[in-house]
Amino acid sequence: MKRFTSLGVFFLWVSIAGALQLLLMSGASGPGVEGPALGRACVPDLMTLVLVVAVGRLDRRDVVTLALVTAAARAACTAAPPFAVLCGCLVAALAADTLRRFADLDRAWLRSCAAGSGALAIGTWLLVVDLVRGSQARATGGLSFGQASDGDFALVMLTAAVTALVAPLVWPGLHRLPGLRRLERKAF
Amino acid sequence: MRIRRLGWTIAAGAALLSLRPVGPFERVADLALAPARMLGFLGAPSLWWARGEEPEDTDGFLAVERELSAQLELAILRSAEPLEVPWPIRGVVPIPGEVDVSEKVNRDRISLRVADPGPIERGQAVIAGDVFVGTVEKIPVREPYRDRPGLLERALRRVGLSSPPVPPPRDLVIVRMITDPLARVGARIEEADGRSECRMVVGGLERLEDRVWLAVHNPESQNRFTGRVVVHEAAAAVESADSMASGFLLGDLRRTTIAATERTPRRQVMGVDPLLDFEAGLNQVLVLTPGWGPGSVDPRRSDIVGVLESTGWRHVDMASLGDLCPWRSTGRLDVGRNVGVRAGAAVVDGVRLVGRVSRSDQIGATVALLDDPGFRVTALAQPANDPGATPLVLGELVSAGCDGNDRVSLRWRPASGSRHDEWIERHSEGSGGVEVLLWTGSGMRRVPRGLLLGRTSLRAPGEPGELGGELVMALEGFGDPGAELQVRTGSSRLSRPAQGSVVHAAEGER
Repeated sequence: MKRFTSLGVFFLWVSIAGALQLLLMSGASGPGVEGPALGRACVPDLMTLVLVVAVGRLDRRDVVTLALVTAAARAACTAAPPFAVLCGCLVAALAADTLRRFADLDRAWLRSCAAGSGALAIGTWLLVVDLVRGSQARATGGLSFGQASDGDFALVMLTAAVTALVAPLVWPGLHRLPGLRRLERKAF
Repeated sequence: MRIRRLGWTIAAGAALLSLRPVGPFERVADLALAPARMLGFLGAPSLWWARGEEPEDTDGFLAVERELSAQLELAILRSAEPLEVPWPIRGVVPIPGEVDVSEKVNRDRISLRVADPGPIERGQAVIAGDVFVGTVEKIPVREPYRDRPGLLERALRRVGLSSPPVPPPRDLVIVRMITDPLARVGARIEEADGRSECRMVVGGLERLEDRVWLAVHNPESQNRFTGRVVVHEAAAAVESADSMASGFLLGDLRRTTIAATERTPRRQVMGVDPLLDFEAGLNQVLVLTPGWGPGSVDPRRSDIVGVLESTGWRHVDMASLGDLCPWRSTGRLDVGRNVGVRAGAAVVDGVRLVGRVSRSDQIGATVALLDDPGFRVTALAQPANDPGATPLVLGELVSAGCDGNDRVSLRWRPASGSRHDEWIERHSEGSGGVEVLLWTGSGMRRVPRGLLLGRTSLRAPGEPGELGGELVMALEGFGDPGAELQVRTGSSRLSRPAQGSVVHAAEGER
């Protein structure tokens, strides 16, 4: 029961991170035709960051559960299909977990690497889904919205880079998020 | 290790389902995510950035825009009647119909919502202005209705993951357009400049590199290269309802030479350059039915149903604004399928279109905003200084996103049959461009005709702004997602001229 409560708390933290990210993205803008999109891309992927930090801190048995919880929170903040979000979160979490198998995420560059690769994995995957679904809808005449272009990969890269840069700075704070102690890995 | 394997398995399954969506799974996902979406209110602070300065006289602006929308509707209804072709026709009763949803899967069909389906029969001719569009192919409500669900389908329905097909509306009519590969209509070019009449059969499409023509079959003479092609069916010979459309225009005869390729030799192609954009340029049409009733539709201002007066609008609030994908521009509504909000529904601020619902779940809906790159909308342009003028049918516009100056870039590629150059020339006042208001056109699911998109300057093709035959327009004054919003929850609106407003054939017969 206490584990469920902790998972609920984690969901709350991820949702707050998503709300903060939305707030920053809505206000972000830049000059020129591509200004708003570039401005939005300069906001770090906070939800992924919270997920990756949690994967680095909490019990490895909970990697999939944490990804599921993050996907549930993230699906409420995006027009991307829920299954695409789920897949992206799982890949990001499992990638961070793979990194953690070989080294503890206790160095700045490792943290940057884990957060950046997570954001890159999610962003690239959602972009691919948008491209594939868009082309399918155009071919079949189905109702579709949004039209990603190949150039949007630059936005994904930018977000991943910003996330990687921000990760070492916010990691200590996110590492101490209250209410998650029941999910922490057991000490030897 | 087992957990990781499970994770990768779920990820692979989710990847498949995201690339190939399966309805029941999507519904299950929506249901499962419903509790998680209860925390959607946390995103409310994102709306701070959306609240712009409200005009002092909001009600006054709304009243003006509603009146402009009504005048546009009136102009569209009037534009359905011919100008060049003698009208009314003795023994023909026109039934007005609005294009409901273009059946995009089969682009050679359109569905109409007609004012009175009673006298309509299969094979009757359909016209838009002076142009012949096609013939009535099906009246779905008269087709046998069968619903025999299989075992799986019945099980899905029982648990609410699927629902039985909805019977077609009573006023729905399916039209097969002249662009259909199997459509054929007799046609001719009239005698002119000493050249004799030339008869032919027209139907289907002749696709060229940069345009599309109507295909010409069995022309009587290969020596006619130009001329206006009109429908010509001898009623006694073919007993076709098309004969009622005799004299209506098909387009201009053209001839060109296609260079040889590796597979095909050099060849001469003859075709009819159509006078309208069949894919996205149809709004209001008339079905020609035999009879001795009113021979003309004469809509009046008092007959027009305002775009917001029709049933099926519901006040909503935006729960959050923005998308975690930086290339998207979306928002989230606080109501969803629970109150009848469906994918495709229009979201408006007054009569201004803010966006369309891209996805609807049990407790909320995601809205693709007008500045969401790739947002598609069929549009009409009306001169800002002449709201009673016949609007220009632009066809489909595609949003390229919002620029740093709060203007939405819309891309427009004039289609075959577009007469925009003549229209712009007629309305421009020396500067080469026309200040226009852009409005939604017909043919979009759950988006009524006559919603304001914004204001822009429409330039003549060939001037700066043209990119490979594509014009880019900067749209201003579009809907504010932070304002008071309404979402469409009902069925399509129909503007039905009252019975008293029709002109009888005897008053001006052909």
